[in-house]
Amino acid sequence: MFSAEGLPSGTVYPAVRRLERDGLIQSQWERGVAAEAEKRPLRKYYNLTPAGRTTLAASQKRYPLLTKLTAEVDA
Amino acid sequence: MSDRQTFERPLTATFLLHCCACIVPARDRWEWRQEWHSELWYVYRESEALSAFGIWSTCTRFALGAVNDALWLRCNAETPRGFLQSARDCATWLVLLSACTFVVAVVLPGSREALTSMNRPATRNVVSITRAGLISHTAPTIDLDEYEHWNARGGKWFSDVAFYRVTKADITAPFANPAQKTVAVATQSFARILDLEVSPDAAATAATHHCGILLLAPAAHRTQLQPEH
Repeated sequence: MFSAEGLPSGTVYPAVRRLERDGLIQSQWERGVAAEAEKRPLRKYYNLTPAGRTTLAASQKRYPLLTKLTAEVDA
Repeated sequence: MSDRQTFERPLTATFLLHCCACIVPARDRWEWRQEWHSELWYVYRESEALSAFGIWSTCTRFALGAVNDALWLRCNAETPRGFLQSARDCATWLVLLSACTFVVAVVLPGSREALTSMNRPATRNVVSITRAGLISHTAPTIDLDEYEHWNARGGKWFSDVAFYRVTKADITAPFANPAQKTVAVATQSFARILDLEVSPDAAATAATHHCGILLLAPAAHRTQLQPEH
């Protein structure tokens, strides 16, 4: 997550925690089988909640430039 | 992933994470550690192409971000805390408790005198010898023979030994009516042990006339032996 965002880790994780606290995303640890097979630590996956999708859509509508930047990063 | 399963991680960053974990509230700490150590492993793997310093720098920079995260968790605990579950609550409670205790200590009869006498430097090294199970303020708790025994053989344990006995005595003073008062009849060493000042003149007079010296606390002198204004 830290590498993907390109932001300092001290910025990314508190932001993620705020989103989770506000019910916009929810997290889930992956099951151990795959991680053990690949000899790596478990990953924690974050998903948008319905409230998060609504908020995201509203934010994209309000901040179109942000939507464009996000699309560039995804690409 | 079990707790014991370990992965290769840079030492400095791992140490930083361990330190930061102390800031995280206890109930979130385990998961917080899992998250950050997991992320560190991926950061470390992705930086493997860099030089040794590059790896160290990237991982350390990443781990320093944990300070912000840990502080955020510390300051934004979600669940309401119960009674005395935060440092601020405990400190407030201790201050209130201390204030109440102080008030009680001041209000209780005789407590102020007791506290004041405890603060006398001389009493810090004084011990009271009594017979087992016998505590009395009106009768001697050891007899004179035992005192003599302590006086003769206690020298190797104590710097000085004194004896006192509480009794009633008729006190006569120039400006007050004769009255019977409770006094402690004590050996000369008593004043020495408690560091009570006895004027040389009084000591000389007492020695000459083979009589005792009456020592009064300032409060007793003021209330009982001085003329009323």
